[in-house]
Amino acid sequence: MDIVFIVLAIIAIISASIVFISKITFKSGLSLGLFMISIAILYLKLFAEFIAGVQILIYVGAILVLILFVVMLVGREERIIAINPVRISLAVLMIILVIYTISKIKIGITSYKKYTIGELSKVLFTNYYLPFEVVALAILAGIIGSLFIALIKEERKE
Amino acid sequence: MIEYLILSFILISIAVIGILTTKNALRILMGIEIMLNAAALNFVAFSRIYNVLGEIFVLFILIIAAAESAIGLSIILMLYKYYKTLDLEKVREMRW
Repeated sequence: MDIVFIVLAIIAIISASIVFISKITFKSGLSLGLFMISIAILYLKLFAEFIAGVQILIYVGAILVLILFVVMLVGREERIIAINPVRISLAVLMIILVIYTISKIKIGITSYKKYTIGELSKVLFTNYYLPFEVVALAILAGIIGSLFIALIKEERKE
Repeated sequence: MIEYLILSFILISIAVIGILTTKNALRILMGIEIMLNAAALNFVAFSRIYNVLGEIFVLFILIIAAAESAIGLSIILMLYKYYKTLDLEKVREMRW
């Protein structure tokens, strides 16, 4: 546990809270971007450089831009629900209990493994080639489905 | 290693509390993204101990998250076109 991890964890937790706390939806979208970037730096800290780059490319480059577009199209100010302090304190109590339980786990291994992109792609394109192709089909179906949903022209009949 | 598990658990709890207390459809989608990110962080952390499969699963999670957010955002656009609101309390056509 070092200082870089603590700073990144605090940034991630605060930005993830701002997503739900802030009154403006656009601000919560930007805070989601900060959260994704901090998670990407945590991947770098875990020696997963390829995952970190892909995280920046896909999440910050594609998904966040898409979300911000939709927020600018339809997101207005909306009512924020007043949070009941009793329920929130119960939830925080349960979170603290589970954290205490997790911190009791002992993992004996201290030497961490590092993988290059070559090893990763060797496993991905031999043993896991069929899931790779299935995921490609899934994302194709996603593209077609989202286009189909967005093209429906129907108004509400009161 | 344990600290990554704790961080991932805290992030998932924040997302669950947020999803259960908000009524805006866009914020619920953002909460799902936060949960997926926390789960992926867990996968990468365990991949340091065991083998490379964790990182491969994180790649699949990223692709599925992209497709999921595209479909969810187009559904939200349709919802807004149809109901003129994103408040999920007012969208009750299929509930009662």
